[in-house]
Amino acid sequence: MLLQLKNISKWVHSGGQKVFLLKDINFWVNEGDFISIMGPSGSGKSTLLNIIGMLDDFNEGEYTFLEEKVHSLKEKHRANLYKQYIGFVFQAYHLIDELTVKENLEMPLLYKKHSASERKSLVADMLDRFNIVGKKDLFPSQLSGGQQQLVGVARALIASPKLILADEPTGNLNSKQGEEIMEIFTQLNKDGVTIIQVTHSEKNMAYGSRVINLLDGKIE
Amino acid sequence: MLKNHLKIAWRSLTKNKLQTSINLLGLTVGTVCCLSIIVYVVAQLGYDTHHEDAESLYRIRTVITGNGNGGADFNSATSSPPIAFALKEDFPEVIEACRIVYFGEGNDALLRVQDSKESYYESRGYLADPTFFNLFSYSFKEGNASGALVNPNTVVLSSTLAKKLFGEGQALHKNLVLGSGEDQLILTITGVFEDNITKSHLNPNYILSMNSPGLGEFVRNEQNFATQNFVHSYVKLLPGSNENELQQKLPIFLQNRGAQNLAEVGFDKALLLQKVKDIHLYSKGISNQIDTVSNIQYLYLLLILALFIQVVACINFINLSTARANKRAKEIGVRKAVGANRGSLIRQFLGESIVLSLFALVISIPLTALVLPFVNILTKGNIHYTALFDIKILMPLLVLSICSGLFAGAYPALILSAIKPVKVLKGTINVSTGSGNFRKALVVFQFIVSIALIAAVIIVNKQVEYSQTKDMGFDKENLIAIRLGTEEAIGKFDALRSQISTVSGVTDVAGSNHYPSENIMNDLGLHLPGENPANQTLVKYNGVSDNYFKTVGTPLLVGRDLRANDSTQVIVNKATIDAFDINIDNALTSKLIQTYEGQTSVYEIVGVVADYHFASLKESIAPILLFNDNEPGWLIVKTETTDFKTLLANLDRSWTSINPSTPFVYTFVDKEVGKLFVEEKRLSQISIVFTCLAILISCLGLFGLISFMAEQKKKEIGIRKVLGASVGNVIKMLTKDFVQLVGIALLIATPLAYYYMEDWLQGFAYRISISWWVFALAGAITLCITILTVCVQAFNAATANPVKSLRTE
Repeated sequence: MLLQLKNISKWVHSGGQKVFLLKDINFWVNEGDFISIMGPSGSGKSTLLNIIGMLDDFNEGEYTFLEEKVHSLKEKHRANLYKQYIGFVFQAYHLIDELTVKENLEMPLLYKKHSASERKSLVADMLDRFNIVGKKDLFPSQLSGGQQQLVGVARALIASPKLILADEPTGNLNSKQGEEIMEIFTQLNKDGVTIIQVTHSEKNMAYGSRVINLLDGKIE
Repeated sequence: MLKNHLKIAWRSLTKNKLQTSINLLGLTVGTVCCLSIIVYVVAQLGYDTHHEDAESLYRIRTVITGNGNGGADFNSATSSPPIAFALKEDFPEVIEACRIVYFGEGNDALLRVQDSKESYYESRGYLADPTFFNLFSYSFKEGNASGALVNPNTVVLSSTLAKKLFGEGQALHKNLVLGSGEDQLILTITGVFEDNITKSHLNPNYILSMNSPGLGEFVRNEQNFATQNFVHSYVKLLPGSNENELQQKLPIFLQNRGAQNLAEVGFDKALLLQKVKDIHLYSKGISNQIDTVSNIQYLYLLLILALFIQVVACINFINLSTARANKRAKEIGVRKAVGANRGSLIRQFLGESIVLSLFALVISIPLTALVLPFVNILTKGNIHYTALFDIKILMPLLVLSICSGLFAGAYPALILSAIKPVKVLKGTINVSTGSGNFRKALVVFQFIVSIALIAAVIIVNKQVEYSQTKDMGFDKENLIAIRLGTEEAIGKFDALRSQISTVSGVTDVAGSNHYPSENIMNDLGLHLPGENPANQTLVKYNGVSDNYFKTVGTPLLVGRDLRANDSTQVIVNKATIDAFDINIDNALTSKLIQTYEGQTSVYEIVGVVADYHFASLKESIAPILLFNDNEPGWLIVKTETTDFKTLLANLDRSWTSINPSTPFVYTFVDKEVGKLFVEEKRLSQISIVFTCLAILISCLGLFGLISFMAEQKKKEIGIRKVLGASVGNVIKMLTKDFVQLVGIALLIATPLAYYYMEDWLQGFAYRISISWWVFALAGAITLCITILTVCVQAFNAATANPVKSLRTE
């Protein structure tokens, strides 16, 4: 088992009332799963994904990631954990505008203290694998949306994570570009990477092996 | 990692060109200010450290309290003649002593090479004991230091003077004539010293042996430990001896040696040791210095002003960085999502600000070299640009630069690194970064600096103007003082006077030992008849000829003018009769008594003259006594002409016809009066420069902030305009906040500036009172500049087409 959520709840206070963003979430993820989280706007999909990605806190419940109790870990320890095992792909790509494609890919490795030669070979591998060698010295603004997302996925993969979290990865792409990205995810999943995606689209959901439907912060 | 950070820093700096230029310009100006000031301060440090035994050299200074010296203490760099060598006799730790008598400005003696007709008034002449060169180190170009001043009538010259008198030829063993008439001395040159040392409180042009007749003889024979405090005394202590111990023994020493002298004059006198190394910077309030001294507080003030400029520049950086944090929020979110921790982000942002401030440092060095001549004018300095490359200057500068980087970067780094990735990565929410109140507080601080500086500039200028236009009690316009420097000239005073009265344009001629506004140091202790002589009041004195008061335009309140045959009849000023509690109606029947070393002299008052400023306006008018002197040192000439060129030529001709061998030397009294305010004028110029810079940098920051605000509120402005807001409404909306901030700053700056400027004004006996409009004006100026700065951008934002800004949503 890769991770397990037990009775996870998250709320905010509004006018003296507790407003639940997530309520009593229970589920587990095995290595090699391809899970789609679905639900209407405001149902808590992104919040759930951020909690799994350890970018966000929760108020109640237990979260176990590779036998580690995430809820009782210190900030630094937690950061090390997700740095090592989790890669993020965002709807709006979130590449750093001031860095070239190559430098964007290199950045996660810098924070993991890889040596210069290691970084060089890993970046070269990724550029090769995604067929973007020719774009390596371009800045994000010089790429199309699909190409940017390709770089986004490559960046998420470069440190060989066990888990990829994708928040509507095709939301800003046209259907052809979207299909390409989903093909890549399928291939990655076959290679053993666990994937959790948040999506609106039934078509994207079909790529996954399991679906979690959220409504008003609860699993249906 | 570092490379990546530098790369990102560089690219984000080049991307936000406006922000970067504002920050860079501000930091550069700040650094240039600091660098100029550091260079100046370093140039003021290390005075008198070149002497071999600099650590053990001390000056004996004197503080006299408890007499009627116009109520003020006598706090002087000088002491009585016998003290220095008596110290050497009494204390084993005093291993050498030396006395210097400085011929002050205006007492320049006439000097010529024996077989030459050319004579010069040479200033900065010293009369010194033969031990002079045992204490103070000078390198000799001709002759040598040991024994140079032992024989009577020997003199050593500075290399500058030697060159003036003898050109490239040898000066050693040549003869000079000093003075004229009966007091004339024939001197033998026993050495020429290099005068390339500028960092010393001593700046001799020539040094005459104390063993010579005349004043030297007087000093050697004087045995009074209480009076005649006109000698600069120095001692050298045994290395390692404790100066405090010696200091504590001085009161007993003075009692042992001079109890009777002290009892006679009836005042309390204290001797104080002052390290020679400290003289240049720690002599505030000590009068009778040899050369002009600086003041450590003045240096602190300059440093503080420079730091303020730097802080104002740093504030721009802080404000613009936090205001624009949104722009970088995405980068921060991504970095955190891929594994950056807070520490590495803080390091990254601090790195950026330090890079920027180091960049400013690099630019500021050549810039400072360019502005140095200007700095030299302001500070009356003489600093060469090579001084910039001194490690003593570069190290503090580097530290300053890094500190500025840290100071400017710290808050933005904390704010930026705290951004939560969850919020920004969704890409829709605007994160609010840093509290707007903190930013406002910083802007208020900038306004406070500006307002306070503007108020200070106004007050300093008002005071200078006040001092310059204040009625001195005499008419300084069109008044020429001609030096009667030789016995020949003084002896022919009457002839000169009648000759010069005939020159066309001359209305009155009189004589005086001091021209008006020349510092008068001579005083005598006087008391009323029948009173205890120990209960005396010090009264300054000056010898003048008849017609003096008419010439300088000071009215007699009662009585008559001096007459040529008056010997015990004197005129006093109003301050004198006030000091002795004499009613002006009884003044003409009153007498004043001087009792000195057992002898008494009686002075009959024949006239009372209105108070006039014979000294700087920093001092209140002291009692002065004027007696008739038929052999005065100066001719005072009142003229009425616009053609001074012809007048001076005519005066010169009349002069030379009677006095062929004395040079015709003159000065305009109003120019001399102007010199009294040189310090204040310089302060006013310096404060103007600092004020302009502070305002400039603050404006840059405001400009950056308002540009940012306009951009951030683009949508709001668009909506408001669509709903019918006018351009004026929008400008008002954008500027309202800043106007409020100026108001708050004015409230804080007013008491601060009032307090410090009132303190500064306390240094003047005659001063302006600070009126409320100074602060109102300072606030108004700041407000105008602010509105102008803000309006340019606000106008652009307000006139933009709302359709454009709304479409982008």
